[in-house]
Amino acid sequence: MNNFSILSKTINGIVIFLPKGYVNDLGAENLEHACEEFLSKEMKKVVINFSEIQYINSIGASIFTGIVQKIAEHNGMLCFTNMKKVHSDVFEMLGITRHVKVFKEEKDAVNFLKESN
Amino acid sequence: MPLRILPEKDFFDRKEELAGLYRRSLEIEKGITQSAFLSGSRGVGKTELLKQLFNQLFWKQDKIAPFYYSINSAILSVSEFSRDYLMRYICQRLAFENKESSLIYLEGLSIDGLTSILEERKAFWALEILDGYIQCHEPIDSLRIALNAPHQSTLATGISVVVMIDEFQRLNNFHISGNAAPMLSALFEMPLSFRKTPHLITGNQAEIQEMPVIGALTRIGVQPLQLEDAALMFSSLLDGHGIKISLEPHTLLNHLGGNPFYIKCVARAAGLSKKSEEKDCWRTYIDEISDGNIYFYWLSVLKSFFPELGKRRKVLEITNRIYHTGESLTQHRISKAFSLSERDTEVITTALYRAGFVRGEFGVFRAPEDRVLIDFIDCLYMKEVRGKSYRDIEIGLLEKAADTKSKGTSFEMTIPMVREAELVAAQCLEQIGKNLHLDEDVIGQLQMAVIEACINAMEHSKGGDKNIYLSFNFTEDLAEISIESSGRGFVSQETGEPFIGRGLKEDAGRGWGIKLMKNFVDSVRFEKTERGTKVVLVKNLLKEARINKEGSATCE
Repeated sequence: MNNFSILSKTINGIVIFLPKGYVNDLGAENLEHACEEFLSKEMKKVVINFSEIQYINSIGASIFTGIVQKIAEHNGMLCFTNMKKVHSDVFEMLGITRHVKVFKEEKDAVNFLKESN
Repeated sequence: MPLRILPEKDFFDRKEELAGLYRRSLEIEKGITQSAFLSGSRGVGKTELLKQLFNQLFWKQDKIAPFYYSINSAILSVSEFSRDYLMRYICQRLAFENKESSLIYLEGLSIDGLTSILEERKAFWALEILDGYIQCHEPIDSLRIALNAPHQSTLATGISVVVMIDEFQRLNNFHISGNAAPMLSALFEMPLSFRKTPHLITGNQAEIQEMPVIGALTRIGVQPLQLEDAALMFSSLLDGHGIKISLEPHTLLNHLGGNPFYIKCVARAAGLSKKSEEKDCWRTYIDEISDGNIYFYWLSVLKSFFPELGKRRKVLEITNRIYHTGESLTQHRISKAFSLSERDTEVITTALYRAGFVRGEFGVFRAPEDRVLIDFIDCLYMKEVRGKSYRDIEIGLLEKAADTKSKGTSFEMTIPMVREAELVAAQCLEQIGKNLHLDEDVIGQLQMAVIEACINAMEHSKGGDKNIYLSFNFTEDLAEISIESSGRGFVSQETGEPFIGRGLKEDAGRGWGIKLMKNFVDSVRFEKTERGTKVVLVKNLLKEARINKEGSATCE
């Protein structure tokens, strides 16, 4: 079974990921690699839009700590948007939301990142 | 007696298990068959399974001899037991050789009488064993000779033996001249280890699990009947009384939990009263647990574990509390609640556990899964402790039955242990939640917990049939979801919690699974079951609805 895919787009140097489906170990690792790819191109402002995420499991969620860490190492910024309550609760439990900016809508995150240096 | 078995048409849903045991028995020749413990709840049909196996081995082949022995409470002096065991073994072994079933039923046979039979048939191997027994005057040595008789006969004749022992826990009452000698059951350790004479033992699970020989046995679980088979059995039994009943599985059968003993009791009583409608069957059931065969069965178990009259009332109060407190109780809390010494509490709770009235292998006590047993205790408690009349009890139980029918919604599903199969369970849960108009967040939380529980089952249950069995039960105020898997359990014996294995430490992420489950539901229980391990997730839906309502009011 393959229940995960990622779309990405860039707006004014901001990378926006639209992952879709089930974030398990494989899904989260795909997302991590995609982030690394953009970070290597010096694109350090990242938005992850969760609107198409159906489920997250604990392994997938924990891999996000690696994503957060890598973006921090590149002095980048990470925003989460369009999260369901249950998903934000998971990230809250793992302490990840302390290191990211959470916005209700993707456009709010993009505006925030546009204005930040 | 082993050959007196149920007719095949009344032996439901056990064909696969029986075929498995039969195959396993034939594999003795290869020397790979180990002694095993046939485990399952009371009344599930373990004894009948052994008897059916005996019959098949007896009639269908000539290479493996079957020996069936049910331990009798009246024959527990070591000397008497040894004599009875040895003589029955020799008779059954001889009966097998000549397909002469009448030898199995010989009662009151003297040693001289048996010697004559053996001489007549020139059974020298048996005469030698019997002679050794006659020469021996030490009870423990006599016991050794009796227990080793199957092995000795195999060495002498080349015919392997399957030894089937029922009610094995009764050996805890072994005595020599009136002095208790329960540890003598450990003398079975040697015979259990012989590959050409593997033993298949059964009896009261809770007690056998505490016996020293358990370490030498592999476990074979006997599951309750599936609902469809239970319905088939029920209708077939009623058919015998000339009553036709629809095969639609109704709530009463669900309530009986697939236990053939309960099904037979209710069907027999319903058949005798010529009633077959569901509401009539519920009344019959209530009669059964308040004054029928089920009542007398459980009452006799209660009395045998609590022979002192003065203790029984307290025992009922404690059991009722354990069943209805809504949380697991430790011995210490029971002591405090009932002003009992720790020692008295230990005696009572240990006996309750061994009798099968409560679960709590590690000292934390919970209600059993057996709803009929819970009803029996409720009924007895109302009558003996609360002084309620039969009529009051009947009304209470009928209300409870109506409650079960009107409020409860249950779903069951089985998923294979393949990657991302947990999503199938999560998707089903979503639809169930929508059908029941559950809040979206509540559905999401339950889904998260179920996904984690399924992943746990896949990671830690390495053996068994590679399936995960899910059961979703919803009432107006509660969601209870159980996720059961076969194979090796992953629950620590010390803490009752799952252990974090080496693999989990290497991958820090997995440790969060249990925490997530606990965060999203109100209670997470880990239980050892017949099948392996079960995780039970319970979520209070009323509380959740209240929180969500308050949340939205605040937002407004």
